[in-house]
Amino acid sequence: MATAPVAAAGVRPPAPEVAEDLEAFIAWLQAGGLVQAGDPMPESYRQHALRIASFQALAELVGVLLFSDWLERVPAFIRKQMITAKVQDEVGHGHVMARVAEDLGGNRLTILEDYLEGRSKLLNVFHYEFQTWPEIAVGAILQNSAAIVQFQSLVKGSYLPYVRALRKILPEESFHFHQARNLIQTLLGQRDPVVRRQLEEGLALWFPRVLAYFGPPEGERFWSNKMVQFRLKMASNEALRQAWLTRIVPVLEQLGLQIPDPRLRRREDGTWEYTEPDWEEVRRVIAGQGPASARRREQVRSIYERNRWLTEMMGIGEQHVKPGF
Amino acid sequence: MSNQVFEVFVILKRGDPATHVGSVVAPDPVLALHEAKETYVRRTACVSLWVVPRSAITAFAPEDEILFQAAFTRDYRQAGYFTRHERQPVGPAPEPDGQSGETLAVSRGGAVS
Repeated sequence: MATAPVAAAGVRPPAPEVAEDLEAFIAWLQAGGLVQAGDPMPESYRQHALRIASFQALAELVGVLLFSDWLERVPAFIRKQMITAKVQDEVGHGHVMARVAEDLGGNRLTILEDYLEGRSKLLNVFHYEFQTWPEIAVGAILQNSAAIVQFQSLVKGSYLPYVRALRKILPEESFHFHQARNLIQTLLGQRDPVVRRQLEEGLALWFPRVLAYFGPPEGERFWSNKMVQFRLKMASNEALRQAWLTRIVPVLEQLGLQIPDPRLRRREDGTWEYTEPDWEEVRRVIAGQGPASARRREQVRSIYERNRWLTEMMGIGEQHVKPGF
Repeated sequence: MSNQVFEVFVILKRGDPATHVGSVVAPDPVLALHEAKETYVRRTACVSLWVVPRSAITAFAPEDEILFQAAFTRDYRQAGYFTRHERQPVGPAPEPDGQSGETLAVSRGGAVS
């Protein structure tokens, strides 16, 4: 029976001799092995799990700045409350992920410091900012649907504390998605040509950015990625991008928005053709040449400095008790 | 100020068991409770929230799971064992599963048809 060993590997922690031998550990993961905090694990696995949790914690904490920037400028009180809720959620996700990282030996201050000192990089979408209110609506729906597709894949991964954190996060991302769709509907309902133009301009800006967000196709390199071997990354960049297009294109069409990609079409085999992102440009943006790259880092630096007295008083970043179960 | 890890448990409905949802770091239980509320039940209706210092939890080590697995091989200690065998024709008591499974399957089949 093909499924039997998978189930069997998932219910027990790795045997100590498996956890000491990287190849045996990878084979055990590939057979469905799942890792709990406190289980024996190879150092390399711990570092990769730590990297993915820290990366997501940073994305949640910094990504929210695109939206919190607008809290003072939201044109309707109810929308201001909704955006506040979204901001609270994302910061909460950052905290949940920081705890996953801390139980792997990381530390929430280091996550911010690594970014401030250039040791870690942000996703391309966080190197921009919103210019108009309608642009937020389309930016949010594209970002959220992309995050949902990505998390639904990562939630099948091998590190259980990270998986549990994603299970908590996913329903809230769904709330943000519905919030963004509702905002687009409301704005379209105003039947104001200026608002409609701003929505379409926003879509023209953000559609290619979110296409690029998933990263370039890896081809054969996919299987040599340690994240893949460790079952911390569960699908290729291209597979995720395709899943996202399948999800988001009908939503945008249903809303009556024209998708500004002349090459976008669904092939006979169900896969999507699209305009290839300019990967050189994407690399440049991620390296810190994006329109808001410098400002974003300054924002984080000023928040970090402003709260320093508090993090020091609270002793944040000290070493904590090891996970016991 | 010295921080501790607190494990967080949520009770969603009165009468439900407390479910572990994650952890927070705080200098004392009251602050831990507030952080837990903000982080884990901001959008969820719940009737109770517990925080427990991680150091207060006594648990078996991961490799000790085998202790509990052992009990399940003795399936005659579980209710399911009897419902599986209740169509058994009158005769000697069935052997536990995994020991004479094949003969049991045959006699069960016979009783149903």
